[in-house]
Amino acid sequence: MKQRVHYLQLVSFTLFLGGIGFLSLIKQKNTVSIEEKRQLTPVPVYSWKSLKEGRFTDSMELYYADNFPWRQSFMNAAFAMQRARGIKSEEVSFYSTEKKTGVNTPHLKPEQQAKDSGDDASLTAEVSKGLIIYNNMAMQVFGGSEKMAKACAQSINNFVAALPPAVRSYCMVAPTAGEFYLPASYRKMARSEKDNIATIYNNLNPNITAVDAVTALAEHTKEYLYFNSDHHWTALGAYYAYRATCEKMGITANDIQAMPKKTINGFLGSLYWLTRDQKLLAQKDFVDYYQIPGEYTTRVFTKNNPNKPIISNLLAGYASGANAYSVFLGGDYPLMRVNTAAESGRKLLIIKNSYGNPYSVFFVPHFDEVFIVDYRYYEKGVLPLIKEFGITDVLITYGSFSANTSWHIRRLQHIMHGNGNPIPKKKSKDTSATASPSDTTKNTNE
Amino acid sequence: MVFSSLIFLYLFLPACLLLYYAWHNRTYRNTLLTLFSLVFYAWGEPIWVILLVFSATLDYSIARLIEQKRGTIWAQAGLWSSVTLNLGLLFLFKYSSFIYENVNLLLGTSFSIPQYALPIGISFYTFQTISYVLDVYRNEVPAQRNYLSFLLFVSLFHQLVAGPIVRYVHIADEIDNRKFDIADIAGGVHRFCIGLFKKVCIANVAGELVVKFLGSDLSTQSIAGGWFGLLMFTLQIYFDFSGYSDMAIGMGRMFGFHYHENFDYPYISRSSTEFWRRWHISLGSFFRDYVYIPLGGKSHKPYRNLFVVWLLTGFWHGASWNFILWGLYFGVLIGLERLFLKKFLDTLPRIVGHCYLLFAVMMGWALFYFTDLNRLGEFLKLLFGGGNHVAWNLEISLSLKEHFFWLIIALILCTPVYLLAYKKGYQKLEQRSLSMGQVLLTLANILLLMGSTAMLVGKSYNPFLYFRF
Repeated sequence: MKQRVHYLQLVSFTLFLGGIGFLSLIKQKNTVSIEEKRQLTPVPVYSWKSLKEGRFTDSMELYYADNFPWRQSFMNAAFAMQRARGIKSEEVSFYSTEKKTGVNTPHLKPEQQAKDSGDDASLTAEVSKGLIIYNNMAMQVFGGSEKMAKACAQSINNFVAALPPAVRSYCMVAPTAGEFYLPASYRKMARSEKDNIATIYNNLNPNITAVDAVTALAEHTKEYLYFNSDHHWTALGAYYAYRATCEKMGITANDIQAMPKKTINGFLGSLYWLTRDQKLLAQKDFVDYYQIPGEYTTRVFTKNNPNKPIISNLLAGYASGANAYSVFLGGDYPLMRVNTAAESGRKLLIIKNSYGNPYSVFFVPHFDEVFIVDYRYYEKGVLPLIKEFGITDVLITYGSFSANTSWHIRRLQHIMHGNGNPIPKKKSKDTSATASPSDTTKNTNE
Repeated sequence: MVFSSLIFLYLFLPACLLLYYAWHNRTYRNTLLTLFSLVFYAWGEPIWVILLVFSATLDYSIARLIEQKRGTIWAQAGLWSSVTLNLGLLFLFKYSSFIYENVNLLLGTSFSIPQYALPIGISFYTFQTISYVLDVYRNEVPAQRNYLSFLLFVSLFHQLVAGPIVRYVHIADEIDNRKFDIADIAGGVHRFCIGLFKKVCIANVAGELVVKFLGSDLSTQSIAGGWFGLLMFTLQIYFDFSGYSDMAIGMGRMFGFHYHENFDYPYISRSSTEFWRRWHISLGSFFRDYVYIPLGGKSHKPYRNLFVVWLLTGFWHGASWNFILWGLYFGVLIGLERLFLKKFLDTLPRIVGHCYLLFAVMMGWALFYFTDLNRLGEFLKLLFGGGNHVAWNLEISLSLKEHFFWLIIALILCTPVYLLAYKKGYQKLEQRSLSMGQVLLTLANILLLMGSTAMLVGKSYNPFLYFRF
């Protein structure tokens, strides 16, 4: 019975595993995955403590998986296997988004993980009930609660109460695509963003002017307000919210027809990369952006260099591919400062996350200076900033998901005073460096 | 380390195989296997590997003492000290916080609850060493003289962390004297690949659905969703555990060890009694041989003995009341079957027995899954329509559709269809052409490995909505 051919199984098994194992050792390691928009797990640093706590070996497993030979092909095979498990509906797909937040970062200390997970918090179970793809469009299913809405309003109230009394304050919470495009039969799964935003507004102090973006957008739902494959809105969607805001601010909004439009094609957004659903692949998104009138200079303070402004772009036309949304503001910077020739006598501070990027751009022509703070990354105090630069108007803007997420709500309190570091000097001579595309990709971008 | 990790599959295992077969020398091979086993264990338990070695050293010495002083009080003392120490360690790590909690609850005291992390595999290797010492005491097997050989038995990575509970007596000969049989090794390779597939492609997928349907807020769950979640847990626990046993048995054969079977298609049983002859066989036979029979078995106070065995079986699975309930639940069912139920079921069509067993087992898994008894109550209410739940919703219909083919395959693999196909189809093919058969199995192995690898690599796919460069 025993024959030579029996060696085949043992030898092929050992060679297959050992061969790929050998390759995995000699293979050049990557540091970044563009598709996943993240840094790959770095080589774990050994310490007895990290070994003892199991962090070292956990990181080692992740590092190994992140750098596995033909990782991309295996990944594609895994998605193909996933699709083959059953029948994908032509019409609709549902993805639960109980994402493994923080799972990929055992090399970080727990407190760092907690902080980082805030970036992704708008898709954690706290507020998202999953993702529905309907009509080739991906929509997050909203799960925000009345309790969170009230907490959000309270946080904004606290923030505004700390401002100098002369400062006018505004609040705009943007709805997401699900509010308008979820079909009736699937709407049962979601809570109403409109009602939730109304709860936030009803609980704001009377000195805060709320902007009803839901109504402003509802009149235009036939237009391209939201991306099909991304969780953000388009510049056009943001434009209608901007127009509604201008009315409340007492300024005349610029006509969109008067602003030259440019287009970046081939955009495949975050929700595609999250689900890899083929229906989204078929649907090619594009990113329109509008050149705003007037002259302006833009400077940014980056995370790594918070005291040294660098000249940057308000609209980064070089953005492309999965990154195309970062055309707006050139990505997410802790602080951006735009000087204009408007001579309106007003200075605006916008407090935003990435949902506010296309929206913020439109305000630039109306103010002498516009400061744009990304509350997720800004570590200095906003109140000293307001005092030092004599800011007259403050606009706080959220997307409906982040407005209902505790990390984002808390963050507003944190940036009031920040972590106590001095704010950047008013005039820095060191503005020679120019932000290059490679710099931009190093920055976080919602 | 776990078998279903890329580092184990692509670095540890091939390195171990290559080095093992590089040199034909027994001491070299046993030393190599022991070293690899200790690294394997230390990967997950860098500290408690000391406990493993301590435990092994102790039992090695005690068994030798028992053998030398056989028939004297020293042998008895040795036995009791070994059992006490082993169980003491198990209690300390596994049960102390449970006991403190309940004492506090019962007496209103406030002892601070000790928080020990449970060393991986302690439930398994403790039982292995206890069985060894007992067998030596009963003179069923001579004590191992070579310390290295004994350490190898205790630490052998194939079965160290998740069973089967290998008895020393079963592999005593193979520790010192393994035969090289390439046909048998080939079978082991195939068995390993199947086990890996069961774990990665079935148990893990079912596990995701368990989290989705049982792990979330039950108040918004549909009735169908509740049943589906329970079915998924039923699949997950079987494929996870039996897949692991397959891998252990397969790897054992790759290195010349033969472990007893641990699972024998338990879900095709027609009674709980039969189910437990097919489910986690190494545990059932441990309790049978070392508890039930010494207590008197069927002939002396059989129902007390049943109670004790099932209490212990439940408790072995975890330090929580629900596991105790789960064990006793099966004890009661087996008692009832012995009294009248089995005879009654035998008079009915076979399908009734199958339905009865599946229902009983699934209810058992509900007990097993929910460590929080309040949540268990909520879940049972959901299953049987007590409460305000919809019968069906979009979530369940989409999940069913999207896992349709997978579910069919999983259900089929619960039955011996593959075994049947292997015997009826494959063995005939092999008789006609051995080469063709082996080539076919080789291709199947590679496919199973590639599919499992894709799933494991796919798990590391973790896209962020926000750039995190």
